[in-house]
Amino acid sequence: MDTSEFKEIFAAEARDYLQSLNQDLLRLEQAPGNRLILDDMFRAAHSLKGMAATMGFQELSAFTHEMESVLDLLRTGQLAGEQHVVDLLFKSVDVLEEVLEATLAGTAPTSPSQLIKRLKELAGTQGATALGGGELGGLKIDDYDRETIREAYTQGLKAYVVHITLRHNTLLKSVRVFTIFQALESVGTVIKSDPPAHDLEDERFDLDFSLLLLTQERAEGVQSLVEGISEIDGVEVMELALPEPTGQQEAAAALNIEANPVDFLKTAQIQQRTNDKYVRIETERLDKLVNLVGELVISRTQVLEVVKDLKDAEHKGVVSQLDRVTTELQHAAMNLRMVPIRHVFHRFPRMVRDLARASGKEINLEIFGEETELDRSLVNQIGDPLVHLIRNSIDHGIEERSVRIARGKPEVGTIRLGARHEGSHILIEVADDGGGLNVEKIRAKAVERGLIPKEAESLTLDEAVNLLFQPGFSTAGTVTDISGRGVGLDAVKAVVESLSGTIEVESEPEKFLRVIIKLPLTLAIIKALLVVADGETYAIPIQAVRENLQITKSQIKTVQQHNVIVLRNEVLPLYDLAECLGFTPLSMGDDEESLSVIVMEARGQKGAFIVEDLIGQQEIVIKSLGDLIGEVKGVAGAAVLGNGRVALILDNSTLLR
Amino acid sequence: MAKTVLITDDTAFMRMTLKNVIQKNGYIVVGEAADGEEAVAQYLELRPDLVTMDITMPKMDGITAIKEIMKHDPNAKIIVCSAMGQKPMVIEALNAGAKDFLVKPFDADRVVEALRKAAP
Repeated sequence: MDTSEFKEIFAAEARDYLQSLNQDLLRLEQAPGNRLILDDMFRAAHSLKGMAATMGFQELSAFTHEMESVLDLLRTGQLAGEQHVVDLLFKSVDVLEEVLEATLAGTAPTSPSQLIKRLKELAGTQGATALGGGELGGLKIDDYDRETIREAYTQGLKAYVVHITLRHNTLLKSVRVFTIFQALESVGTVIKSDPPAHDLEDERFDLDFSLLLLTQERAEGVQSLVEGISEIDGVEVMELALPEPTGQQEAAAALNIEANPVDFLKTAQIQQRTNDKYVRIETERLDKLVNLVGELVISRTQVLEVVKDLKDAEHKGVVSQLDRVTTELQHAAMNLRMVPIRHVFHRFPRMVRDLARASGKEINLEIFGEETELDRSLVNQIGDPLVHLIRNSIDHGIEERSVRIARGKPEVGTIRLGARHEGSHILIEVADDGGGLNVEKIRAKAVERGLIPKEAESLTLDEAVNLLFQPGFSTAGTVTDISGRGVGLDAVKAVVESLSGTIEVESEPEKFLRVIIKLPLTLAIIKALLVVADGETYAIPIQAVRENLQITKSQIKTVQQHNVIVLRNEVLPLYDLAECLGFTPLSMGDDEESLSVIVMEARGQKGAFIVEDLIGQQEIVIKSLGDLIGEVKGVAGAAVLGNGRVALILDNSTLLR
Repeated sequence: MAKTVLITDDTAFMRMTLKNVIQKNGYIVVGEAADGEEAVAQYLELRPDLVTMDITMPKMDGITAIKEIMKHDPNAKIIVCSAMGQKPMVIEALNAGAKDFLVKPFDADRVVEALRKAAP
C-alpha cells in the first residue's frame, strides 16, 4: 500500500499523540499510578505504534512497542510507577520525538537501542524475543526467513538479531561493516541485514544496522566477537526463540501490526467526519492565499492612487466599496495565519520540571493567556528566546530554598509565563518571584568585563538592563548546564529585534523579575517610511525610525574624521544612505542647503542617514527577494508600491553596523 | 610484556608520526620498513607482534606484502593503513588477512584501539 500521501496526516496525528503523552506524564507525576492517565498513555503509545508500522517506519514502531509494554505493565499494576520509571518514560517520549522528526525529515533515525534495552529490562522481556510477524530490531522477518530459522534450529544452530552501532566518527563505514561481516561469517551465517547489504556497502545508513545471524555460538560469544572489532559503539545481541508454527497469527495479533494496517487511517477519517468544525489545511496553501491577498492589497493601493483625483461620485463609491472589502479580506486572511501561542508554551511545563529537578529547586510554572493568537511565522521563532529567558529564571532568578526561607518567601518558586494582546501587538511575559536584578553585581561584572569604566557610578535599572543584553555578558558565578554560558540575553534581544519587537525589563531586588516581549501580530504587512536615495525609493520599517529632521550642511561636525550631528546633546554618526548602499552620495550644495535626515536605531545603537527625499509612510506587504537572489546584506525584502514600482526594504540593523 | 611493532610506510614523516603515537602508548617499535620488500624481510627477522602496513609503496605494495607475510605466518597481526578513497584496496587487504584498518590522517586513539584489538 502506498502510504506516502498520508504522511502529512500521520505527522500531525503523531505529534498530537506525543504532546498528549508528555502532558499525561506530567499529570502522572502528580498522581502516580492513576489508572485513567495510564490507560490514556497506553492507548496513545499503542495507536502510535500501529500508525508507524502502517507507514513502514520500523524504528518508530519498534520503539513505541517497548514503551507500550512498559505502560501496559504499569496500568495493570504489574510494575510500580516509581520515579525512575517515570523518568525513563519522560526520556522515552523525548527520544520518540527525535526519532519521529528524523523519520519525517527522511533522515535515518539513530536507533535508540540503549533506551529500548532499558525499557525491555523494565518490562522483563530481556530474554528471548518471541518471533512473531513484523519486525525485530529493525529487521523484517518474512515467512521465508522463518523457515530458514526453523531449519537452522533443527541443526542445532541459534538465531540472533545483532544490532550494531558504529562510532559516530567512523571513516570508511562500509569497510568497517565488511570487517564485521568477516568476523561474524567466521562463526556462522548472516542471512539478512537491515538496511540491506547493498545499502550497507554504499554507506546508505547512519550508524546502526541489524543483522540476522545463524550460528552455534552463544550470545555472549557473538557479543564479544563484535566488541573485539574497532570503531564499534554498541552491540546488542537478541536471541530469537523458535517460532511455534501455530503461534504465528497470535503473535502478529499481539503486535497488532499486520493485523489491520488501515486501522489508523480509518480512525483519522472518522475523526475528520465527527470533527467538521475544523479543517486541516496544508500551510503551503494558506501561505499562497495570504500572498495573493497581499497582491490584492497592493492592487488596491494602486487603484486608489489612480482614482485619487476623480471627481465622479459614482466611481468613487465603487472604489471605496472595493477598498473596504479588500481591507476586510486582508484581515480575514491574516487571521487564518494566526495560531494560539499555546503551541509555543506547551513545551515549557516539561522543560521547567526537568530543569528545576536538575538544579534542585522547586518551581511552579503558571501559564496564562495561552489562547492568545499570533502569526504562525512568529511562533516558530519566539520559542528559543523564551527558552533562554525561562532558563535564566530557573538558574539565576529563583533562589535556593534556604535563601527563599530566609527572605520570607514561599519555599516553592513561581515562574509566570503569559501572553496578551495590546492593540496590534502581542505581549509575552516571563516573570519569576526570584532574586530580581542585582544592579550592583551587574555593575561589578561590567567593570570586570571592561564594558564600563571603573569609576562608573551606580547604575540605574535601565542601564543595568542594557548591559545585561550586551554580547558576552553573564553574571552567573559558575557556568552551569542550564545557562550562564555568556550567550543568551543578547541572542534573545537579536531575535526579538529581528521580529520587529522590543524587550522591557522590570525588577525589584529580592522580589521579582519580569521580562516583557512586545511583538507585532504579523510580519507580513508592515508600516514603512519611504525614502529616496540616488533616485531609488527604499522602504524602512517604521519601528526602526526614531525621527526625521532637516539639517543644513553647516550643522555637520567632524569627529575623528567621521561626520556627526549633534541632536539634543547626543552625538550621532552621520552617513549618506546612497553611499552606504554603494551608490553615488548626494552632492551637497552650499552650507545653507537643507538636507533630509532620518535617525534609525537598532540594538541600542543610533545613526543618522542623509536621504535625497522623504516620501512618507505607507503599509507595505513584505515579499522575499526570491531564491534566485537569496539573502542580500542590508536588504530585508522588497515591496511593490502603490505606483507599481518595486522598493527594497532596508534592514536597519545591518545598516547600523 | 610490551608488544613489539613493525611500522611500514614509504614516507619518513608518516613513520615518525606513527612511531611517536605507538611508543607513547607502551608499545616497542622494533623496526621500520619503507616498502613491502623491506617489510617482509624485517618481519621474518624480527617476528613483531604487530605490523602497520601502508598500501601504496614502491617495489612491493602493501597488499602483496600482507599476502607474503601471511604465507609465512598465518597468525600475523597486520593493520592496513589507507587514505580515504582506497576502499577496494582496503577490502583486498582485509581479505588477504589484515586484522583492522586505519584511515589517514591518523587519529591517535584509533591507532591505539587498532593495536589493542588486533593483539589483545
